[in-house]
Amino acid sequence: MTEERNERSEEMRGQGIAGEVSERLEGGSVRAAKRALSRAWRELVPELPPRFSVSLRRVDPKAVAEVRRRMSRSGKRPPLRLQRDEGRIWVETARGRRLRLGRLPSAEANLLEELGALRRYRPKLIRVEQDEMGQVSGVIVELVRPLERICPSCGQLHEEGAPLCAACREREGAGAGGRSEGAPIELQEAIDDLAREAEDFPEV
Amino acid sequence: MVPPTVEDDLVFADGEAEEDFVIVDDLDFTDESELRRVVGEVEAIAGNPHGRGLRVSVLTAEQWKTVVAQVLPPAMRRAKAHLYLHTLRDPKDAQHLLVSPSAVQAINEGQASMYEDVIYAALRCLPSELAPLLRRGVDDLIAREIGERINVQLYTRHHPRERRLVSALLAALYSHFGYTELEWALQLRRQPKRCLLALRRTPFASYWDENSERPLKELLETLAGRKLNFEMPLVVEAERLLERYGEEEIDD
Repeated sequence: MTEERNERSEEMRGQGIAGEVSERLEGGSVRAAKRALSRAWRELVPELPPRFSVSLRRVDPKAVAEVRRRMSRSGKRPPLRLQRDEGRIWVETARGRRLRLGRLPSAEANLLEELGALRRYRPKLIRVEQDEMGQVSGVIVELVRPLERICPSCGQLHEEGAPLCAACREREGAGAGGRSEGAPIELQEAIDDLAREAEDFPEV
Repeated sequence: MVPPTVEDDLVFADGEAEEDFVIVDDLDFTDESELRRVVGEVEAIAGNPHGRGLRVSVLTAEQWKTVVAQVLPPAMRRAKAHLYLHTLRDPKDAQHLLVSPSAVQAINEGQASMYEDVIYAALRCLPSELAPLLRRGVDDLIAREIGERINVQLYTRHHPRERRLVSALLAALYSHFGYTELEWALQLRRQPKRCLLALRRTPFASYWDENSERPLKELLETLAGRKLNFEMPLVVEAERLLERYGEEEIDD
């Protein structure tokens, strides 16, 4: 059995994790596909997601209404910030009288705390939802961090403005090229394939 | 970049204090027009004009979290992998693309990596009988063309080895029959078997026969098969011979 598995993974080498997942799924081995992806996905993404949306908890409708008023006066979205208070992470206005819109869900807040990444993210207001009665029912905020650059020489992510990272600049001198961190295309493809096996996927 | 859909004149209800916070409309900054333009461009280039079009749905943050968590293995769920994902092909309808609100926002801000994300995802939603390995190479080529058309600098070398193999195959075709690399790439995506069989009528067919012990027919069957991968000796041989063939053609 183990030999067979080794032989199979030999066969799959050289086609990336997306290929491995689709191959295992076609072979009927959903669990093996999930295991393979669970082992490999971290290598396909940066340590911190560049941006993600959250639905705020404990939304304060008064603060939201005031923010709306400010926006209607200025025509711009108000700058927001994350603020730690009483063990929670709150989203509040960064200028003028402080308005606290709501707090981050615990799961996302804990993750940012664990990774020490709280200061790197800026919240942006992207949607205020209301219920049938016209009451604020949800506030969607997006957390965005600056994109890093991929060093064209060593492939490592770095934050400096120059294309090459500091170590490679020192070693090779200044060079052109480099790009911002890219999309995790391979991970997306593997998830698309795996999704076909999902049970009870909701109607969207 | 994109103006909000906020009303200039806000209407608040009179009377009781709690009604001061009644809002007339949802406040929504997720303008989807640029997202739909990009997906439309993907369809215009790579879609089937006689087939069903792609459907795109932008989910709310909560919906997104739910649907992605539904398809992730538990270990990835625990590690919050959903935060890294922004597109998902609907498992119930392969031509339905689900998009996170973050993706819309990033596209409106002109973030090239999110354009890549959406373009490759939309390409995966378009049906193709082509083996995944070749389809990845073809998608790199099509994504490059889309990037030029929408005037966004995209990184389109996500599958370098697959793209090299596809480019070499297509070169053998267009150097003999004419047309462009893109036209052949689209043809390969839509009608893989027919396109691969056309290789038999190119000079590459005799080059293969002269240099390989395996018949061309076997190679074409392998390339047309769904389980194509780079560990297959015939594929490795095809990579080697196609590269040499290309170099010799240039020398001639």
